[in-house]
Amino acid sequence: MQGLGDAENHFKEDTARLETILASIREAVVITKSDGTIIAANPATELITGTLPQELIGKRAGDVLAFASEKADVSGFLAQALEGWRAVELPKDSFVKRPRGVPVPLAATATPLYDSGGEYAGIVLVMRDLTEEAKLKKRQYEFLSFVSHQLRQPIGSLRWGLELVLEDKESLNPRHRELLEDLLDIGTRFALFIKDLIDISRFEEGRMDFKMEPVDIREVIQEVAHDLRGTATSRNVAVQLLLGAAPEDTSVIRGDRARVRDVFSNLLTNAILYNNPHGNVTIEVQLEPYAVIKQLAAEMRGIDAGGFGKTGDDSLAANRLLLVKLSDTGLGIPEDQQASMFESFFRGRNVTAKGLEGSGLGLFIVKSIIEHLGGAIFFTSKENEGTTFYLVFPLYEKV
Amino acid sequence: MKKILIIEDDMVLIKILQARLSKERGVDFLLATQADEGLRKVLEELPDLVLLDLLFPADSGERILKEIKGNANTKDIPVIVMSVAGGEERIKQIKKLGAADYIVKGHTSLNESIERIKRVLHEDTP
Repeated sequence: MQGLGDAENHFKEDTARLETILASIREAVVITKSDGTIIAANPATELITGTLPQELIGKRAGDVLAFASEKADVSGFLAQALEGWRAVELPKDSFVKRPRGVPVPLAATATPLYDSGGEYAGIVLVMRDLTEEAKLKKRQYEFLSFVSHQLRQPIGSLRWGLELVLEDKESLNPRHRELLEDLLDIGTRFALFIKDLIDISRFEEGRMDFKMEPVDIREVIQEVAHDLRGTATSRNVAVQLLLGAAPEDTSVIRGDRARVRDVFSNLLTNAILYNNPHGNVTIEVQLEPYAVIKQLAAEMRGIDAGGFGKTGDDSLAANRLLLVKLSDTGLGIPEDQQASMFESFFRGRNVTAKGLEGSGLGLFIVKSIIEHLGGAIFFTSKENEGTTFYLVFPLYEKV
Repeated sequence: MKKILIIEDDMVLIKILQARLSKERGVDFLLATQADEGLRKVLEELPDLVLLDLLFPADSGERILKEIKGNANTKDIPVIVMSVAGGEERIKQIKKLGAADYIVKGHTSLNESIERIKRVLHEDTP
């Protein structure tokens, strides 16, 4: 009997220790059984969910914890976690709803628990309040926006002044003229960089204005290719457009024309600049059935804002989708850098090693626009062989 | 002779605009570096075109635009707004207030700006 008393004391000690540990953690921690019944919740849970831990215990997690996101469908988050196969993470920009007051932005991970026999026993849900981080991020982007706008005034005067002087080309000596042209070139690139900075601060602050109008992708691609033909020629890169276009084929999507242009302008500029002399760039446009897109999404890395490739969701199955394939024979992206390729200020190691210029904002802007349009972008890339981007857009269907 | 009133506080930009626009035939300038002075000159001189910098202290550029468009004597004078702010929504809002065009400072090139100024001046010619 003495032995059992010891065991009981150990159990009590262990439980008390566990409770102390849980109470000292700043993140909200909720533990459930395999059926989702909550068996423990620490005090920090109240701060995030607005519900006292004791009110959560004994309830099904799915009944008392509701998550939301403006960008993704997160309704299946808990159910997926409770399947018990692997740790599941809430996507960025998610919120937890509260019984009263505004939803709280959070990061959450659910990890399966196994008992001593290795059987799946439930999940540990860890939630972190991102309110302060979100505020800080907002201030950072406000500052970025302020500085970028302040820079526009002097850069504007510099560019206009140089343009004015260069209008009287004959009066300048050739060496001075060349220098002034180079300076104007720098000013123009700097102005574009400022525009990119303003764009990313708008995207991050959720202030990006988007028109939603019918946009003909083929037209946009032709325009962009036309604008960049000088850049392509000067670098000996051949750009081939395979725009298909059987008369019944449509290539009209719903979006903001200027922003769709930004997407192709960014991607085509990269494909030309980071190519090899005598390299090729090919752009193909075709209508594809949903199943093909789903297969692409499963096989490749990328951003899937429309949820085309999501398992179990075939709500878009009836839609015809427009696939744009943009491939180059360029430098490619190093394998170990591919996961961070769509982050701001990303620069390929092989690109910087060659001293090639770029702000590292282009692909981030492409990603942000694609997310706004509910599209998707996937890619395959091999260093020294090239990159192929696959862009997916839902077709514009007249209602 | 077409009269263009430039309401702008950046002296360098004023010099550039004057130098460039004086190459166009039949153009005369008026200048104002402050909001109230600008508005007074609009009322007194009735120019053919106003180039208006928007980010005068405390958005007084927007106030001038409203006053020009709200006055029966000046409402038909075309106003081209110049500003460092280039958001679609902002541009739409300013055009709704009656601006004939909108030049994003630091982004729109001088040549394109001059073309737009000439277009608006030309549109105004009966």
